Amino acid sequence: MTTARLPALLGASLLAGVFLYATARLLQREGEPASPGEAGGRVTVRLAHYLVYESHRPYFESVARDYERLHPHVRVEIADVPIRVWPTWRKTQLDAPDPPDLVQLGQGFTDEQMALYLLPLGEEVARPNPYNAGTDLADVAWRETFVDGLRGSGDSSETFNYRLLEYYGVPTYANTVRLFCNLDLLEKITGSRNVPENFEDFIALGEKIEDYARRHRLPITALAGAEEYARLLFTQLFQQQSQRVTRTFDLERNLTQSDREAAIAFLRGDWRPDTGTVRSAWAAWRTLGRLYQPGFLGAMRDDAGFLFKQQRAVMIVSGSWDAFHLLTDNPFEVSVLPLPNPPVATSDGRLGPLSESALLPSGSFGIMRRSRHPEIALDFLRFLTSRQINQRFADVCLRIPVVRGAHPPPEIAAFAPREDGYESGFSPYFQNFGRRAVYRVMQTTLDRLVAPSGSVEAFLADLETPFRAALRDDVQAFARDSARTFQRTDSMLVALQALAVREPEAAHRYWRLSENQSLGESDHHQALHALAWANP
Amino acid sequence: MSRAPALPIRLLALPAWVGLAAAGWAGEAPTEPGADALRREAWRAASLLQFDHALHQLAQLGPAAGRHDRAMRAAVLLNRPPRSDAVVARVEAELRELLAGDPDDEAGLLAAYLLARTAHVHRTSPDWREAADGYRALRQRAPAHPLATLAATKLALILLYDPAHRRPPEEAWAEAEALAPTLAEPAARALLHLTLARAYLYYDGVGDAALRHLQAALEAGPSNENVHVNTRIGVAETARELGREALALDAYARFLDEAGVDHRRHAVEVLLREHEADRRSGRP
Repeated sequence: MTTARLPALLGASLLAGVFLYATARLLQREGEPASPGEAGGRVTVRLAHYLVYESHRPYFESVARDYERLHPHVRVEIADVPIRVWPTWRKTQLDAPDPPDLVQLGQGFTDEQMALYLLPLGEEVARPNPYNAGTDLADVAWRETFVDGLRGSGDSSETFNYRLLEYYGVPTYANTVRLFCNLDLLEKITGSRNVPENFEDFIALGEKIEDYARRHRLPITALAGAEEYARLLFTQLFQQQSQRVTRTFDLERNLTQSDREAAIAFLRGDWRPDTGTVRSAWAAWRTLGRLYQPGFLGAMRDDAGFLFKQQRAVMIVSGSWDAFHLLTDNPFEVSVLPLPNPPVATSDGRLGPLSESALLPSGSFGIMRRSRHPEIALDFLRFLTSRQINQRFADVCLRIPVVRGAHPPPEIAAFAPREDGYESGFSPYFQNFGRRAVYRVMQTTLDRLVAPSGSVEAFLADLETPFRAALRDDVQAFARDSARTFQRTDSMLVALQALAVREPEAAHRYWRLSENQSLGESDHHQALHALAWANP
Repeated sequence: MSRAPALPIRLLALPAWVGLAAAGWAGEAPTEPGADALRREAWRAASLLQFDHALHQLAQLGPAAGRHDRAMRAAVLLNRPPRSDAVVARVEAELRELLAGDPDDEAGLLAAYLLARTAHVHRTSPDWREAADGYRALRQRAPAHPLATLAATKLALILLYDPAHRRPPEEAWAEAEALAPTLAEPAARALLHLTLARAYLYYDGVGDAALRHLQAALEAGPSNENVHVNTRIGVAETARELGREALALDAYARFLDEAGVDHRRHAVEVLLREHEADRRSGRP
């Protein structure tokens, strides 16, 4: 061999080596599973959710590993997606070639999407959950193992969908709203760890804190706030203050308020923002608004949480979803309290504390129709919603459990839904009504009420005209949206009627759906009639 | 003792067997059981909003598709996105043709109901008079048909919520009220009574008429559990406001028996306790 031929030989050897390596890789890949749902003889199921909290990732991972130990042929993958990108991400997954097997519901999952992309669970929830074996729930239908029996409500679409008459998800938690109080800071400022018990105490405490901060030149406020957190507090206060007036315009006399009824009542002149107990609620909002840090309406929830954790606010109002974040890893002790009731001086609008029995279980998961392993996905969902695992969720993530017999851990006992209360009045935010025009008006006008330079009078003067126009817009939008629902139901009903000739169950569904549709049409026609005859 | 048929007789069966086998192998026009399965799958899909799938099933019927399949296809097209007035108009044209073909068969009745519905709620500019006439005609033609039974409530909605009137004229109330005794199906009767009760409560507030219809609805039996419980509390509240104490107390007590976890439970328990305390102390 001559040295002149060496480069060519090296080149050929390199080429052959690369060829052999590539061939080996290719052969190796052919040995891998054809689908991402199967790996090394194990099948993989994927669960996707938007509960991106510090405590939730290890919890979901531990549940997945426990399930894998019980079922060695299964691998469970958990995908947590931040809530801000969740709706877009979910949309891309619906038609993706390999969607997650289990997906969290809520956040705008529409009826059409449920019908087209999720497996109906009606037959499954009627059977016991085998993972409750050995407990008093062993022979209980899966749906009845949840605190509300998965009855949900007319607007709920996370478990039983009343418009489709089908179950599409099972829940994992409930949410309530409470007041978190930094007891160490409270004691430092007031000399006592006594927490406020009523509205007057609460306001007096706020003034004490304000005085303390001024005297010591410290940036401390009574409440850490953000628009979202303030809305939680303001809404609950208003819903109590409007309990009695809401009963007067309860169109169906069923002791259940709806934004639709409150809107129609406004159009008919049954209540006004500037009279009676409604007016007194604004005054209470203004008083509360003074307890927040300056500019709180422009703050985000993370900003508010940061202020509380940094001990620059004594209290914060938030939901049970923040319990783990606000209660743990603090160099101070935190107490959880009910929200302050409206002031006694203006309590003539109240019936009593708000019942939280109507709170709907949330955090539901459904199974995708295109799941490669729907039977395993179903089995994992049963495991996830067994009493034992739901109790672990509560204990580890400080969440309110929703399986009967599971209890909130002692740290969040104060979050347990209150049952000895009354039905709520209406909320002036009309947050989920129509096209949310009123909600936007409230958001843009509220600073006139709570800013130091504002007043109830200035707020009402600014609110009056846009509120009326926005409410009309929302009622019209409600009428349009409800029409779309019952138009669609027509096609469902004639199909059910045809099926009913041979399937008695279809006949039952036909009448249930007819009832929902026609009562929805009553609501629709009443809204249009109220618009037509409303005072200009 | 039976005898096997003679060979010529047996040979006669051969062409029939060949025909049957050919139909099975060719697999083109669905056989009757196959067509039936396609139809049921289409209906099932449509009942769950899966309109594309329903249309696909109906399309596979090919020449086996009949008048009812055409009507069902029109019903599905009515709601398959994207919706427009042009789509509604095309569907109406198809339904009118079916109705003209035979107004009394199943397809004709379905077409008649859907035509009334399009005039009532599907067009951008509804025509309530046309819709009401359509509902009335359907009810006359086949009063016991489930769609005609449902048409009673739809007709009542038109009679009771005409935006031209601040409150419906007496003849409208009378026509709507008169529909109830004609309904044999309890679920339909309950629905009509609920519709009437809601209209009375909307226009007049609490009164004897509203209470009468709420009670009648309960007696007939609403189809949904939540509607049943809401109606029960409606009877209790309405009776209480009208001073019908015994009726109210009975309805509240039944509500506590029937309702599960419910946000109204505490309020009702307090009310019953207070009433009992008043009764024992002799207060009115």
